[in-house]
Amino acid sequence: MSTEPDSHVAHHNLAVLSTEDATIMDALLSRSEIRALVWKRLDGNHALVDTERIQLLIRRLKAIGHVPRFADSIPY
Amino acid sequence: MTTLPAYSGPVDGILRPTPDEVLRELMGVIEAALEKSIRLTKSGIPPKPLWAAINDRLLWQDSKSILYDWDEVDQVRFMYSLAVQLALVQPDDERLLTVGPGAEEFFLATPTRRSEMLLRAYYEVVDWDERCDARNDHGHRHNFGQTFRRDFLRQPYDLRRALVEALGRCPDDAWVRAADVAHHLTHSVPDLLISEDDDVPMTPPDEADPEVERLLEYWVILAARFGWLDLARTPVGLETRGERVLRLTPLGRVITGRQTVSYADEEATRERAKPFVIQPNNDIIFYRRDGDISDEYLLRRIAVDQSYAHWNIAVVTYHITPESLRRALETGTDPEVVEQRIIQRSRTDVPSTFRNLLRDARRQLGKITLTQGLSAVELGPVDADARARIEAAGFRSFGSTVVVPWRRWGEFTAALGEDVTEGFRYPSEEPLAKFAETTLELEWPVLPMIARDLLVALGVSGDPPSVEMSEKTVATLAKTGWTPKAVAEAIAPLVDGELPAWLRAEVD
Repeated sequence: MSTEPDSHVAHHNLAVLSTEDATIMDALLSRSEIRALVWKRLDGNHALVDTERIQLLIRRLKAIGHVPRFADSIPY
Repeated sequence: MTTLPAYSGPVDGILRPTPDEVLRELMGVIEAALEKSIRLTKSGIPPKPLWAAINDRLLWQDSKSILYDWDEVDQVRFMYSLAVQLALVQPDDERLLTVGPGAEEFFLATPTRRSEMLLRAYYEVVDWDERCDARNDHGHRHNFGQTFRRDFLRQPYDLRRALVEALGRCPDDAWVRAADVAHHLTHSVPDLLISEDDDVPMTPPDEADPEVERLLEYWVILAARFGWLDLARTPVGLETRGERVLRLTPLGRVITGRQTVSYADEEATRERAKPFVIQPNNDIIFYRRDGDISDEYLLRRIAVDQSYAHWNIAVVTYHITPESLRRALETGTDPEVVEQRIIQRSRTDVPSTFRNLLRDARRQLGKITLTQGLSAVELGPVDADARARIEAAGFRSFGSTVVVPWRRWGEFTAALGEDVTEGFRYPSEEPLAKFAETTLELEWPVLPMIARDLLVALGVSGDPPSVEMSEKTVATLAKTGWTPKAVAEAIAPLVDGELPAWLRAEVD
């Protein structure tokens, strides 16, 4: 089915995971434990993620050597 | 639009409230949630220790005698519901309450943006209804409309929109009798207080419904606490107290669409204020009169846990340690915000010890970032002008999806210039899908954002959408990187954990 709606549809309470470049995002999404928590890849280096499980995502990112930081606005 | 008649006579006892009380109470909800490890019940109701902890922090406390039943508490439930709606607190994947993704977004916003977010949250609160939950000073229900425990015809959202719309009819800089507002409401929305089984009351054209008058007498206090109204009374008679009169504040004019403000000017005013002195031992002295609630919020996030000084104390001190700063940065605080909001607003030179503290904390962070407090709008057909306005306003677009910070929601809808259909707010209260044997059936025609890439990969279709989902179909996804375990974890929040046995086995 087409995912583009007929009207404008709002989804609230989301977070964006950003990486400096697409290869990092590719590497993250190749790991099933990260991929399970990523809802939608927006482009090469941005993806929508689940805010309810954000601490779980951080724990899993730390386990593979990434310590994410929080940003007030979407970078890159 | 008809303007309500101005009252030009004398008034007594003018109250000029600000939203500060409500903001402090909302901050109190966060503190109460963090005080102990609070786990929500399966039904989502917070446990009793949290009610008492919230009540202790409220300026308008509930009577102790009603702190035994979630349906009985009034102000605790209202403030908690507002805090949840604003995502100031949110349960994590183990149902433990944590600081929510909306807290930074809300408290660090400019005063007007914060009030707009508060208004929107107030409209959308459904777990508390002023008609049947609000209580008086003695802890007794007001029961406006006298339809207690029966469903009202109108939703709380409709009631609140009607009340705020009525305020929008007040003349600028003039007092209005509450009775005139009640008269307007009685005849413009006559079914506000009736239940589904009631007939619309017939009120003579020159009278107001006494129940609406009673509701107004209560509600103007709430509106004043939000900072929308000044309140007063006409002079007291020998045997009677004066009539209630009200007047829109500048903030009230903004939230009713009568006036606009420059958010940039508000930011600039805040940037000019210098409310901090930072000591070499990493104590931050905060001069409250020169700062605002956003400064207090940020300090409490980055400081060590402590008993907080009473709000009446003019100067307070917060102590920052490497651990307290690291904890804040790992749970939602942007180090750039600490730099801009604290270091750059210090009255005196910032000691190298504090700069080093922030630098060391930053060094431990990687280059992957998380940004919270966002909405995503999937645009339908949109004309080039609207798209140009969205881009000119600085909103990030990813194909047909626009990502909007909550504090800028009003600006986004103004730039779009068209209605937006409400999709979902996550986590949803009800499961958005269920399994029927080997079919995953979504409950609504709108495709949720949860596990969106997976749903598309599975090939959902139909109205409402559904897809065949068996061990065999999931196995075919393996070549695209979706292991059965990842599928199970991704789908679980969509069906509230009610997975078929073969999928549940992957996550157990």
